[in-house]
Amino acid sequence: MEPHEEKPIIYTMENKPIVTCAGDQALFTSLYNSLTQQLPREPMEWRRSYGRAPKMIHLEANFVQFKEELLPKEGNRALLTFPFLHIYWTDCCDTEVYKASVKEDIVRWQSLLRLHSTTDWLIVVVESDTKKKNKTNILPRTSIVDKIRNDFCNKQSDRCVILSDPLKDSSRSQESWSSFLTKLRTLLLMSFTKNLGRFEDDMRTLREKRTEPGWSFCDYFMVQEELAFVFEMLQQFEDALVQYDELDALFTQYVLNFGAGDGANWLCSFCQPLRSWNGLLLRRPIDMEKRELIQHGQASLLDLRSYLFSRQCTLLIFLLRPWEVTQRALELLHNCVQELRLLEVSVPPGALDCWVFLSCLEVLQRIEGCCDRAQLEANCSHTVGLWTYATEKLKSLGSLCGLVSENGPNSEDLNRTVDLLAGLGAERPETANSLQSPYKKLKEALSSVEAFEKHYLELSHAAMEMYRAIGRMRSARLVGKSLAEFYMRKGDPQRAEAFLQESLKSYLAEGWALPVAHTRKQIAECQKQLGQTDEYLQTSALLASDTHLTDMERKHFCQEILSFAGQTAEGHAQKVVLSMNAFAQLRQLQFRPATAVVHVGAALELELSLRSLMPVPVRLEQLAVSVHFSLEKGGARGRAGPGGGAGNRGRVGQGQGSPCGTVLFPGESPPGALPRSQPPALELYEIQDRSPSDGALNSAGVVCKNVHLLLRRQDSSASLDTPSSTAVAVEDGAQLLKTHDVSLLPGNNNILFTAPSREPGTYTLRQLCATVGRIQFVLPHIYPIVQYEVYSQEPQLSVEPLADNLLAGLPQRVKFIIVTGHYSIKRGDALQLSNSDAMPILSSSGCVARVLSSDSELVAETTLSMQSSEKVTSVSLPLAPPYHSVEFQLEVQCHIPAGPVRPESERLTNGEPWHRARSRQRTSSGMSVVDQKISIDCPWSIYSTLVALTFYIPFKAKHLLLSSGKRKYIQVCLQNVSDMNFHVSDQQLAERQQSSSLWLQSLNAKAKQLVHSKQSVFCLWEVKWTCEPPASLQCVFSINFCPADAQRSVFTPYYYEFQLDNVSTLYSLSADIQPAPGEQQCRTGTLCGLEVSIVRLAEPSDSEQQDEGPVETGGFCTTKLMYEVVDNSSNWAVCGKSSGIVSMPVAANATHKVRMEVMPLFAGHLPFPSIKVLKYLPHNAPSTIPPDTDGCVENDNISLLDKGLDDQADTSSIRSRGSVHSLGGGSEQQQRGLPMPRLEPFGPGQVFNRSQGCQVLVLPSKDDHVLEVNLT
Amino acid sequence: MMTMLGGEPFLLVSKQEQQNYPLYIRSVPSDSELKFHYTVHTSLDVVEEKVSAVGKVIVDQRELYLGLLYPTEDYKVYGYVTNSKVKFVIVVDSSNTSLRDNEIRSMFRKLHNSFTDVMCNPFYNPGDPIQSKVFDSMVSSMMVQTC
Amino acid sequence: MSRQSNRTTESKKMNSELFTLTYGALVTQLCKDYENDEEVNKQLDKMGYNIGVRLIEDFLARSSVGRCHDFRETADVIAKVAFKMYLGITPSVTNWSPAGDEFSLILENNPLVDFVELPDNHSNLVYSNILCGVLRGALEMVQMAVDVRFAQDTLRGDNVTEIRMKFVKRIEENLPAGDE
Repeated sequence: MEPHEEKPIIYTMENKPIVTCAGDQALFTSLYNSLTQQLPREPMEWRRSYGRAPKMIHLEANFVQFKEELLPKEGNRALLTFPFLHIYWTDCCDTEVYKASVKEDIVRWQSLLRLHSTTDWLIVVVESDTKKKNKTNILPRTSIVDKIRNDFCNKQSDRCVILSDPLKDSSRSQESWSSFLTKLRTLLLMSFTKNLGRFEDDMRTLREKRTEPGWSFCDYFMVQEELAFVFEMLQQFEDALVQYDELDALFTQYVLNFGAGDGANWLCSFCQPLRSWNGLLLRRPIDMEKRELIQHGQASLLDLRSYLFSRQCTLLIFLLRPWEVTQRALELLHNCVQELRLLEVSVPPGALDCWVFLSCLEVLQRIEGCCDRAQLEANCSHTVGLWTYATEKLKSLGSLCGLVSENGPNSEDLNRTVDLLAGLGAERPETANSLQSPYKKLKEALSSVEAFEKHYLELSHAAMEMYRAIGRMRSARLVGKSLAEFYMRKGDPQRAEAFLQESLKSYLAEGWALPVAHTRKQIAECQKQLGQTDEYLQTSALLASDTHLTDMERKHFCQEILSFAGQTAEGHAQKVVLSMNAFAQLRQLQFRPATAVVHVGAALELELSLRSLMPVPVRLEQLAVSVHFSLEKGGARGRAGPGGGAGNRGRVGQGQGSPCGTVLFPGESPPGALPRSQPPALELYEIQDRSPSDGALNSAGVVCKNVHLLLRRQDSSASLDTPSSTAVAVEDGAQLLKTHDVSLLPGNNNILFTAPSREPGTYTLRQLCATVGRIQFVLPHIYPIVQYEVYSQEPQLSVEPLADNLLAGLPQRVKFIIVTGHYSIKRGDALQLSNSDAMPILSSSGCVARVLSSDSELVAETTLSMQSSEKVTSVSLPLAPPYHSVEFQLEVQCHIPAGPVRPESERLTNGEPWHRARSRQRTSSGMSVVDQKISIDCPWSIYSTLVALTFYIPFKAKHLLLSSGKRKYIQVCLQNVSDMNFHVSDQQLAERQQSSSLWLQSLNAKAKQLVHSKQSVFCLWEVKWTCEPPASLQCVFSINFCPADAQRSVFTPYYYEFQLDNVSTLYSLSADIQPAPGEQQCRTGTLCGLEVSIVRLAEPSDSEQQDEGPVETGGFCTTKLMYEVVDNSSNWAVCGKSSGIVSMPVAANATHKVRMEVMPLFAGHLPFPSIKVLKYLPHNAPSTIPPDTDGCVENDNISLLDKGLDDQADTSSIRSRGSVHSLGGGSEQQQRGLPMPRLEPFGPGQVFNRSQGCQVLVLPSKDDHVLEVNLT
Repeated sequence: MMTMLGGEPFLLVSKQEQQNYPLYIRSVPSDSELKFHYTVHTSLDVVEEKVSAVGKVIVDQRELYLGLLYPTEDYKVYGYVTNSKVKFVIVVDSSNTSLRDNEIRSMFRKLHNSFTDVMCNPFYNPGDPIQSKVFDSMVSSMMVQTC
Repeated sequence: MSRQSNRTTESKKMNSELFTLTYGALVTQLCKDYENDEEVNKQLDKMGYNIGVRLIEDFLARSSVGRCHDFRETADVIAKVAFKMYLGITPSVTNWSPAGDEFSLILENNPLVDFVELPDNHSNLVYSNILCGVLRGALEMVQMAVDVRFAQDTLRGDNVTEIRMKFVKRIEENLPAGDE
């Protein structure tokens, strides 16, 4: 089982339970072989005391001749030498012989046994036929056995067994053998149980005594180990191991208690100073020397531990649990170190290291001894611990003995080495001839620097390999680190750095601050020695900013940088470029103005707050931000559309949730501190490429905004990546934001820049670069993207009314706003306003112009001067720099056009025709509007700007012609449609052609009146004339008004023109209703007589002649009239013909009466049915249709009707018109064919109806008793 | 003297790549603090080993206690990993024998509980270093009582 | 006095952590949206108010309590019935002002703030301010204008949480109760 070169001899395996044999030796020897062979053959179940699980065991025995010495003396507890069974052999078969010799012999034997109070004995009687043959007188053989049984085995007959023909190969002999063996086994086991039980009891009692003063652990150790031996002997390794573990635990407990204060005096023997530290020895099953030491209480702690472990190890290997060995070994070693400390054992420096080193290797070799390569490799997770431990120890030894310094060991180192080696003593014989023995290794390693290096490297590489193999990368790196430290000590930074960098990576990746800081320091050391200036500076920058270092250290590293920066660059002028984020962090960046959109040449400040990570103030020669300029199409468009650039900036703004022009930068974790747990999120945005011609989509794509963050390697998050020179080199033509001589204090600093804004476009901040002497700290990407816009703007003029409705007729204020844009208003610049004379510009003195800056704060206030000719007003502007705005107010007044507004005719003074959609004439408020237009010539452009202003006319006027008989009245209704209240006064009505014969007599109040909003005032005039009434009247109504709330009431006139035709009354109409003959009153249902009399009042003027188309009939001419009686309220039933034609003689007071029958349908005071009179024109009469209205016939009588009625369209007239129309319509049909007479209505007031509104009382008819009351 | 480092997580920042940022490190101030950090960091190896072993062998998933990760000459390092792969590591000076396995186990439970509370604090965003005073005081009390 | 209501008086079980976390999420989100704490407090109060004006109906339906005769009775109902019903706690009513128009609710444990620790930059945040809103809104619906504020808060290091309620005036009927 041991493929190892020096195969350890295992004594205990030879040990077997002793069985003594008395009696016939010859017989026994003849049987010995078969006996020893057959005994172990079959297992036997061993039932054990204390409820321990029964076990099947194969028994073996060591048969020895019985001697009295073998029997244990009193108090001797040695178990190994204890005879468990005594057998007496005999084959005597005749009584004589028995009596003669055998009996006495047995008696003697028994007495001896009894003397030593052993009861485990057996008598075997062997029978064979051979003997029987040559015996003549044969007693039944049973008799002998019986005798023996009688003589000895009183009441335990089983103590005597027969073994028949043992040497024969017969079934009979077989049986007897097996029965014998079984018996033998049983007895053996019984004996074990008994004796071991007794032993264990004694052992326990002994252990209980351990608190007593005299008690010694070593003695107890010996006792329990005895038990272990026995179990081992019985190949019960588990049980054996348990014994040792118990001892181990017991001892450990004592040591701990000692540490806790109560030391057992026996422990003192273990506290003696350490003298020898030769490691574990696992190659012997039992290290007798150490056992001796323990036995005599001279063992040191290490001795005891070593011995104990070697035993455990042996057993474990028997149990095929080698990996437990390694594990226990490691624990043991650690434990020993602890215990030595605890017991305050004085240990020469390095001694323990030697011991551990040796032990580790010993264990490893022992394990290698009992497993093959494959197993080993599969289980290096178990062994690697030992390897590393050994490595560490060797390393510390090395440094102790001055073997890792650059210049070898000095004398005292050597002395120390010698002492250490002395402590190893001589090499053990077992390993004497193995070249690789731990002992040799250690000796060699300590012999010379080179040897040490060789061994050390060997070990640590082995350890690292194993760690890598089982994927314990961190552990591997840790070993690597200590290796690096070794190299540093050896003054070989080249090698060291690789290891350090590797482990640094992992610490960074996993954000372990302290290790990072520490490792960095070592790296810095390397780089310094290697003269890697840039790297060294970068690292020291990182270190200087690392808060995990002491202030001293940080200052030191910062100083390193500064002193380098201070050196005058000799030779290479190239500045050293370092990454900024170790040095300082860009925290936030603020634009003033916040919009980050300014016009060309405007001042744009941006303040960036930079957090310096240096422990001391640092003076920067220059801090510069490189800016990328792109002429971005939206640039010229100005604030109106900041274009894509603004879009991006906006997006960034959102990202930082700061509308106020500040861009916050994500807290780039200071190097060395924990990296951000989240990797930066993708920031994608879409791009679309549309073809310029039609907006068709050519291609669409997704662009990642923060590639430089995402594609950065994880481990370089606290970057050692110095930006490539291209990234640093400021692009050609890129502008720079610069400040000089900034001193960065530790913590936050705010630095102010003024951003260039020479030409319009988008400026993107690219890099931040701080220069300290020869060093440049560069932030390669400013992210999130920061942009600002510069735009240029055309000057603009806008005019807006101050009130929401400009009222015509009143002076109104209008605001002029000039946004200068890139134009600057020079001396003598003026606005030329040319306006229609309907809207003069009131040159009010003391009109003030305010000049505002782009962020609308008042810059200047000047009173403007205005020269105004009748057509042109020129306003001289105040001086204003570009991108300012000039505001001033002018008063304009729009004259109210007389008469209904007919704006088509309007023309501007500069001759531009001015058309307006008719629909706009009436606004929702019912106010009619006047649009006025000013054309303004601005100094900055050759074209004149047209500005339209809409004025609302506050009033509406209606007129009405009233007549009673011949007398005529004109009523004018003035309605205030505005929202203001007005005072109105001296209303007047004038006639155009001032004929002396006619005058208008006012019937109005003189006093001025208040007209509230949406209210009306009525005025009335009587028309008087002397000679004859005029055919038509051209009237002009005028009234003065002023706002009711005006402090000084300036009255403005309001004119209203209108015309009245056919004023004079031609006919007077009267009706009378007579009750039926013989009745006093009219009654419903009974016919009444209606008499209509038409009287011509005056000779018709010849124009009227024309109109009515008189006809010569007999001597004198008449005109034909048509009358019609209609009753719309259906109070009356007109019986017979309701209409007819009468011909009136053309003479004053010519009268014509018409009678007809009407029947009242209701009772009560009924109004008369309405009676109409129309002109009846014969066919030959000339049409009075004016030629200009291109004879669309069905319209014409309406148009005629409309004349003058336009505004006074009261319902009745409309009704009448309707009826007329229908009639007229009818008449046309014929007119198309042969010429037919036509009907024409009379003008208002031409026919006066006296009985208008008369009523007649109608009584209900007799027969019905229901009085119907008509409520019309 | 007793040293503990609590809250030593796998933050499953993104499922594919686990990271090992320490959420919380606490140790009795001493000159060998750096050494603790190294020790604990290295112990992650073993934790990962054990966790992956758990993955393979079907063991009781509810057993979060990983037991003694490994002994070193000066420390005993114990591990505990939640099912969300948050790792706790306690390092005890090896001379400290008062702590049996059960004590350690219960200490881990305590840690785990108050860590859960920390996670439930709406103001704490997962992944950040733990600054909770409650957690702090809990840990210190634990450290005191085990000294 | 106790009218019949179809509402079940016993409330359904709900996991308290979920409840607490939900509220926590709400508050923290507010903190993200509004920079300053004062604003957040306002919002919380507003929300609370809108809850209160609705919740009162449910409350009256479940617990068929009638009109309270005086403020003291109101206080007791709030503490013993309302808080028990909706938060499962019964704060103690103390510190009556001599005028009897002002008292304190002492919450020894406030379910809203389990696990919560205020970070230092939120010193002015009244984390549980929603409760004030709820009380205000609910009482307004029963014609009581009250002024509710947190006098102490365990979150801010006080050893109890104290809600101070002051009776302002009795509101006349038919005043429009809309969301704020």
